Amino acid sequence: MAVAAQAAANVLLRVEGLRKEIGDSDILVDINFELYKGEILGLIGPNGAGKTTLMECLAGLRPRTAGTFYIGDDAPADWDPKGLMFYLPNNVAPYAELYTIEVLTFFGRVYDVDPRRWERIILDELSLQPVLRKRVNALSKGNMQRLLIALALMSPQPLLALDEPFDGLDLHQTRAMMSILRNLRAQSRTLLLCIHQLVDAERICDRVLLLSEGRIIGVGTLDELRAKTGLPSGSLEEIFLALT
Amino acid sequence: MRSPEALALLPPSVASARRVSVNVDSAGNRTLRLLGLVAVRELRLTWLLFAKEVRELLVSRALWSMVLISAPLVGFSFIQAVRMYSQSSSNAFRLPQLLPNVNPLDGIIIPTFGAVYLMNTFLLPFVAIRAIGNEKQTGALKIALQLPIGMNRLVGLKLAALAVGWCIALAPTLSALAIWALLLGGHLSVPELLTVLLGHALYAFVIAGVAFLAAAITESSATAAIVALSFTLGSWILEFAGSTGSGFLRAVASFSLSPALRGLERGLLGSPTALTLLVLGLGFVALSVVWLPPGVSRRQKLVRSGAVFGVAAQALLLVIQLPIFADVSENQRNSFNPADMRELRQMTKELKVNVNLAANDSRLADLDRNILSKLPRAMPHVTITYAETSTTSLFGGTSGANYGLTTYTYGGKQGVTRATTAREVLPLIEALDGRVVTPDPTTAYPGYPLVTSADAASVWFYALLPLLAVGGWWYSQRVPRLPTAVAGVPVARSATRLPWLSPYLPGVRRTALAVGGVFVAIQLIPYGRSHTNFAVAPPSAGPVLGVTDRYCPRTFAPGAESTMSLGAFRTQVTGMLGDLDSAQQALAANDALTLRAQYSQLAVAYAGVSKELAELYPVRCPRLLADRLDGDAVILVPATVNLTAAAAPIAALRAGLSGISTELSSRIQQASPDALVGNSAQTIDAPLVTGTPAWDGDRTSALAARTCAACHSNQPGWSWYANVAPVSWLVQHDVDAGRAVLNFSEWDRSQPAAAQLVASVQQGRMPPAYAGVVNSDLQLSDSERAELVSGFQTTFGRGARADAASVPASGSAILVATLGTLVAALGFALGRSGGLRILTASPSRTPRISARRMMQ
Repeated sequence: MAVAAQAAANVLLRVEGLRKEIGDSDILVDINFELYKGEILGLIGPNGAGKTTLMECLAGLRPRTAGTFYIGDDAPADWDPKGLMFYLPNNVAPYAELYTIEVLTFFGRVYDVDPRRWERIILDELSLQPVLRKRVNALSKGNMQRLLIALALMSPQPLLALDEPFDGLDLHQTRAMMSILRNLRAQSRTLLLCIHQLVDAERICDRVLLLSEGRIIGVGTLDELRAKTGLPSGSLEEIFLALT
Repeated sequence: MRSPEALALLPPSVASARRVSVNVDSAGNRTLRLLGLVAVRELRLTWLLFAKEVRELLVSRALWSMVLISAPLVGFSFIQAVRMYSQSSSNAFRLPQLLPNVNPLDGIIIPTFGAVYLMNTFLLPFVAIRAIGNEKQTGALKIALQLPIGMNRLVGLKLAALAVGWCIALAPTLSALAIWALLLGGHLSVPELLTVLLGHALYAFVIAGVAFLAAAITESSATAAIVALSFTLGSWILEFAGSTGSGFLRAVASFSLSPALRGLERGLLGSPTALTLLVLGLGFVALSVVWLPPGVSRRQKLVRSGAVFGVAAQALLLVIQLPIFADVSENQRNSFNPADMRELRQMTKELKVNVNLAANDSRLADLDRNILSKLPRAMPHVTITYAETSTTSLFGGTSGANYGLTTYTYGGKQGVTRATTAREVLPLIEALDGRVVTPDPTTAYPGYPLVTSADAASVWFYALLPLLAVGGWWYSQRVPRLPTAVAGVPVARSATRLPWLSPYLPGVRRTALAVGGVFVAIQLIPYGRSHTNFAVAPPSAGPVLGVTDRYCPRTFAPGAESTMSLGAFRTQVTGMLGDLDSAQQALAANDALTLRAQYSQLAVAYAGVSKELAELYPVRCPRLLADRLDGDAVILVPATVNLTAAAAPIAALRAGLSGISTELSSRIQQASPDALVGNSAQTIDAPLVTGTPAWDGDRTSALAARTCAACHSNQPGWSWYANVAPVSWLVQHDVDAGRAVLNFSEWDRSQPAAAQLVASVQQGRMPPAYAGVVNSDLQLSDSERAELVSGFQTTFGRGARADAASVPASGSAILVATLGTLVAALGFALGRSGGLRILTASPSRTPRISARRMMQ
């Protein structure tokens, strides 16, 4: 009971009965899971599984058909997650005509980021110095992704939801990004990552939530999923194939 | 009580507020302090987002494209408007009864703002749609919705940024009006201009709201543009249908956008119009706030939209129920005479007006403009119906006996008339309630004729302004300065071509800015603007003031107007001119008896037409009366005629009556000799010329016009540079001084410098030598000077008075010397105090910008 109570105290967000329909299609069906403080939870699934829809419902960017979101013991009727999470969508190119430095400065000021931390994010963590004088619409995919990650790093919310954070990054950049995300976890931030590449998810995520056709087919640590599927040394890919 | 997790999830704006030190402060003080911190934080956030929105607008091509397109549009409208205005002014100089129609509001402001209307209708939607549609398409909206700022504020700040862009796009129009008022010397009424500006601002607000809503509800900017333009076109179709239809269509069409704008353009500031546009704009913006967030269900959006509609409808009903109007037009075109307004407001029963005119009949437009549009504001209960005039109707049509009649029914009584003017219709309406109203005397609208050309401004509108727009876009593309910590290796500056100039560039820049700023500021000084617009006024001093009301009444009760025909009036005036000619001949022959006899004859004839003079010439009547008093004082009153003093009033009377005779002839040409004076008196007497000398020949007249009229007439004809300060100050000073002592356009009054006219020209004091530097036409060659002297001697002879007020020959020179002394003194004071150091400071290095300063 003490363990259960302790586990309950560690829950940052709990989703119960989330359902999303568009017309006659069920995009999400009976989604239930918990997100613990300080963990990296991977949202894994093939194209069309409902990963982005789930994230956008959590971020309040899509209305849900049914379901309840709990923050601690509270289930706010009017879901406004601005204080809880910062969601970074995939395939966006915001503020295209502004310069990179302008966007970074704007977000730094909006979120009252400490100037030293702001410099560290730009120079050390994401190496954006070479592109500061470039317009956002002139950035390569990788640089755009690093810019967006920089914006997410500046946000103060305890939960960061990143949709395909490694999209467009090369191997070295991916590893550097993973290091950054692990540092965030060390700073007690919680991460919800929507990841397409199962290999990357295996490396970075503490737990994974497997989605297929809008339904959860498995959730837990890699070891727990191995035990569930009877694949003691199975990879995440093998586990996913076994569950579907 | 909220769980700790929930408390921790307060918006960052509150969460990041500085920790308040725990001390013995009361809870109330702590709360207040926290609220203060929150307010500061929210203001800072608002400013950051507003600055970002403005920056995005400035770097985009959309805004600068709008400026680039509107510059030549405005230029064409303005230049054409000035051309037509000048044509109307020329006609008005020849036919003074047309002067009140020469109105800068109709002739310059409205046509120039026509380009603003096109810009608002066809270009502004694209800029507005971009503000929201771009964010939706690029995904920036998803990020913006997560910022610690609500949707209301987000959309509101986009609207505020759009307003900044609209003001920038208004620069060509404002420059056109500045050219008109400051360079060309045209007249501008500030209340009229502000009302027109308000109308277009509100129209732009509605269009922006429609565009925002279109962008919020559609998926792509292209679709949003189609939706927005469809709304505008739909409004135009509705307005057209209302203009050709009747009853319900006409009523619905009155709510379309253009009629509301038109009311404001005409100088009628009304709460139903302005507030309706405001409510519409707010309603559309509110709907865009409702429909923009993607995370709200459609059902919720529909419910909220219903709430918006409800609130907007209530607001519109309230606005219609509490109408407040102000007629800011200078000629009070939107109002009846104050006496009529007072009486009509007291007629509390319902007035029913039945109009039997086809929608395309021009008389309906006259009736609407003169009566129907004003009646509902004057009377508490008015119902206007339009009889069926369709040719397909059994009982209607435009050929019936009743066609053209308008029926007014009040309190069981009825009046019918075909008239469309207030002068004829209002007495009929007032008579239904047994009222006879004498109009209040009002200040006549003089009209503001100006013959000029704005063609030179085409360089500004077609070349310079577009270049400035391109320059503005190019300037906004500059890379912002990077904080030193993140800048890395500084980019080497390219070497300048003139290295010796580089140290002085900042000082030169500052000096240029200071000089330019002062130059612009002095253009706003009102002095120096009235040498082109001039209206002759009645005398403001002298014994005539005591008798003006008796002999030159300004108003006549209905039925008391003159019944003399124009032809008979002119015959009387011609007779008086003959008497004056005979008097002048007697004066030349020193025949006092004949002089007195002729003058007495004049006096009798004058008494016989004094009512007609007062009715048709309310400005000239007192001037003639003053000349009559002067003449009577030296010819009729004393026992012996003062022959020396008699010349001036006789000449003045002759000049004044001659001007009236010319004006009467043009009236008769426009109307007919049988037209009654009483029916002709609607026009306003505001002449520029009340009397001219009887020149001995065309040559003298031409030389005087070329070299003297600039300062000694009411039609100076200075070029545009005479409107640029400080040159305009010198010109104004010389023109004021010149007109005061000698005015060839007002020969119906005394001319103090007439006695020295010949000597001044002969000795070379006039025209002043410096005038020729400004304009070579003002110079006289030796032969021309001799011709002019001879002409003056022949023309004036004994006609000018001998009393002396000499024209200060070096008036402008004194003014220049005074100004120069002031400037020198100012420079000395600045130099002593070190104030000039700002202009000569050595260039400083580019300041280092820290990240901390960047984050503040």
